[in-house]
Amino acid sequence: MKIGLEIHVQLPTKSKMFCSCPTTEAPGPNTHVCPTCLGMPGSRPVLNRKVLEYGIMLAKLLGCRVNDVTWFSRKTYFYPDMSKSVQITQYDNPIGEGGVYYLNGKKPIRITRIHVEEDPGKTKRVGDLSSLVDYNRSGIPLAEIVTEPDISTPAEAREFLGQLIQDIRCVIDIPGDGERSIRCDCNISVGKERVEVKNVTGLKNVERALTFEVVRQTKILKAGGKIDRETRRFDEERGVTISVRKKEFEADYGYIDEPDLGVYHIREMAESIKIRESPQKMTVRLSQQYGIDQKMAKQLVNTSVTLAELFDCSPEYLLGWQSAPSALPAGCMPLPGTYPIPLLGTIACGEPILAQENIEDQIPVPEFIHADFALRCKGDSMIGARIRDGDVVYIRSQPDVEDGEIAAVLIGEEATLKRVYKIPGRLQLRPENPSYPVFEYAGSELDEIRILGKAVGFSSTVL
Amino acid sequence: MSMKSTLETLESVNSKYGMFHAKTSDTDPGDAKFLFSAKDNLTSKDMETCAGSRILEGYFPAFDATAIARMREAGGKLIGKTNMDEFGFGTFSTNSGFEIPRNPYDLERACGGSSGGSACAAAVFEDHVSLGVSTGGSICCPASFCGVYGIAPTYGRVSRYGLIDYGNSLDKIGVLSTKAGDLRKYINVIAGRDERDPTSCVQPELRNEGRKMRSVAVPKEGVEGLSKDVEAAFNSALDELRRMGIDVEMVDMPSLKYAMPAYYVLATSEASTNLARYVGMRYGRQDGDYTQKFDEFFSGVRSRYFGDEAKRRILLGTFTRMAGYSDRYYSKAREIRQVVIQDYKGVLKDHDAVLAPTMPFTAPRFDDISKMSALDNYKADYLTVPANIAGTPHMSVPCGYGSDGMPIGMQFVADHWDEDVLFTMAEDWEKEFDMKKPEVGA
Repeated sequence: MKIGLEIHVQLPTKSKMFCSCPTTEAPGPNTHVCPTCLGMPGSRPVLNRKVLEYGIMLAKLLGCRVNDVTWFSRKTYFYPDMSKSVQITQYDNPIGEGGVYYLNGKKPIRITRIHVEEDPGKTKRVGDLSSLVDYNRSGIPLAEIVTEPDISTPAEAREFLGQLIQDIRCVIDIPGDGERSIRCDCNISVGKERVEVKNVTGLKNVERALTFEVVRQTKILKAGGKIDRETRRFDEERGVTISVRKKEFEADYGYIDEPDLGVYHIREMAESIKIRESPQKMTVRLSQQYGIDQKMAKQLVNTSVTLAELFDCSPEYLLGWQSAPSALPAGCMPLPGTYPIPLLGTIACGEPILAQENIEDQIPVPEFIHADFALRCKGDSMIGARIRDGDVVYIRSQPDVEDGEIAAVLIGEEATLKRVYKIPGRLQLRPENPSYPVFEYAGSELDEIRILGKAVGFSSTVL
Repeated sequence: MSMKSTLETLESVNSKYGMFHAKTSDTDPGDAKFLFSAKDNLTSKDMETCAGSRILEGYFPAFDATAIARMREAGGKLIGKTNMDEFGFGTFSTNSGFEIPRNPYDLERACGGSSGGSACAAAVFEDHVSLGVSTGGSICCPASFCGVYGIAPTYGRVSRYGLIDYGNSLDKIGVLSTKAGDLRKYINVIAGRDERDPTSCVQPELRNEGRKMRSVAVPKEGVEGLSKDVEAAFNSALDELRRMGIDVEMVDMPSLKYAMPAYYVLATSEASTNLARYVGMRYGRQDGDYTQKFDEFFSGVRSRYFGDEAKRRILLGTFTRMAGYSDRYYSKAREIRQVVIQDYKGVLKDHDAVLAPTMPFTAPRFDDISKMSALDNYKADYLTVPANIAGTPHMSVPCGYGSDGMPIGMQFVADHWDEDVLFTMAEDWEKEFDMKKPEVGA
């Protein structure tokens, strides 16, 4: 038995794919519409670039090769919910092709392609004789993911879809509004001929529809019959599939390139987009990295990805002894971390004193201060900046500072902590204490001056 | 004639020439700086817009086409929407679902098409500018037949927002007028980027440097099959150009003869998808039988309200893009388009423009047109189609009159984005050319 799926996912853009109508819940039928999504003569599409970004994210999630150049095509068919009788979709050069996605981290399901397209409106039957059309959905962006027939059973199809949907939600932040926002065309062949069950909504129905087909096709084959290549639809209430059209009537959509939209060079965009680790990959990694059972890892991830992320935090980190890991789980507040820097000796806050650069000690610095070394102050010339005799000042190494910043400055062999002011042709070192003089240097004197770094913080003993 | 008197006589002039499908009933120009008309495939908020098709009867668009909006912002008053071949499908404006405009020089003859009503309005009203649209020659052809100046700028120069599509990769909005200076003036008004049409957003700045034309290339393929009158007028125009100091050189452009079949494949492929939206729902005619199934309802409306030429082009275009045929037709046509572009680029490296008569004959009589086959009809466009398929700017200027008194035009084709050299040519030519205006009466 071979099963392949075509999965439609609505993308969470704020506005529609080719116009600026909102994608949010509409106050009533045909209220989120404009000339473009109604297909009024003279209107034309303008691409919402966010759609390409989401498409690229999904292509990456599915391990697809992202095409350097992508464009859109027109698929022509007549149906009342399709306002232009033309759907703007992708045919040649879709966003992504040739991917592999692993079910439970083990079984490879090959991905044929992923493309983006616009959703049609919705038709609603009213009584037996008439239907109404609501175009609020017309032009909502969709991604269509097509798999190779690598799925072996209806249950596996459901498992695959469930995992995929969870990954997609996590990677592109689709709000969890139930599994019904996923629509699926299911291709299944028990014997040689392939049957397509169109437009099945929800995980459970996918499994039901496929199971029905397995039973139906197996019965026919056992009775010595032949399975027709055809398109069927699933009746949710009765749980059966019904033939819609035979292969000889298979539609010819007469694709041509969409001339109103150009060709999109998406290589740079694709390179700049990074996606977060999918829940599926995280499950496999946690299980391997920390030696926990995969089922437990899965349960942990399924419960809360944020909770599972705590697995990546060391006790040292959680106690604030270690700086933050690259991704801090949302809602977690660790103690501020510290890191060690060398304490290099004493610096004058008063008359410059001879520079002694030798490591006295390693001292901890809060991680939010970016310093390279520390110096102990001697003197009270910086008292106005609240730096007192005996304080430890944290210095970030840099050859120059902005006007008015406090810097550790080397004058010949002697070091001092002062505010640096640059006046054309001159340099002033000012104390923060009126009882000390301002030092000023000009001309060749400037060659003797070297800025060691900028003071970025200090620690002081409570008196 | 003042703007006021133009408005006051609009009704009676229109009943004589039939240039307007919809028109203003205002008789007071108000604070308008100028009057203009627009081809009926450009959407207008205040006037019904049908693109010459009965299927759109009753369509009052919710928005103005960008070109019309920009004309209004510049102080223009829209006085009418001009008659045209249905969706632009034709060479004589006789494929209209409504009235057929009549040639100002001879009411028994056609105005050309598909912007026939626009050329007619430009020729008839004094101080009048009309917006036309060209897909395969629909500005230059009627400009030539009605003895006016007409320019189709580079593809992408003027936003197509609000243009009812024929072939989206070919459609260009341009200007027709009896005054050469209007071409520069009004293309400057309507050109420029518009975020509502992405294909307008790649254009370089429109130049207005007054660059003179110094040399033209006349393709041998462009002077074959001409009527005696056209040949004579064109030859004397070449002499005049030489007197003006412009080099005239004969060249070979072998790709031009492939432009025609490629054009009809591309244009009809796109048209057949554009026309798919007209199904009798949402706008235009909606008077089908609602008890039918939707596909029967759609077919019913489409059968009733599309004209024969629209149906023919839908069938042609659907065929050429069907699986199994699209490689043979649609894909090949796109390759030919590139060859034609390269051919123009080659010639325009050494010349400022390619020049040929606009049409191989003068405006035909309606009774002769009715005897023409569809193919004869298509063939009449062989001189205007190549520049359209290449997307290069092109302009028809009046260059003489036939023995029957009918106007004759010649068509200059310049390189992409080089409208300036065409504007300047028209302005220089106007000083030398003795224009004979038609006798106009209501």
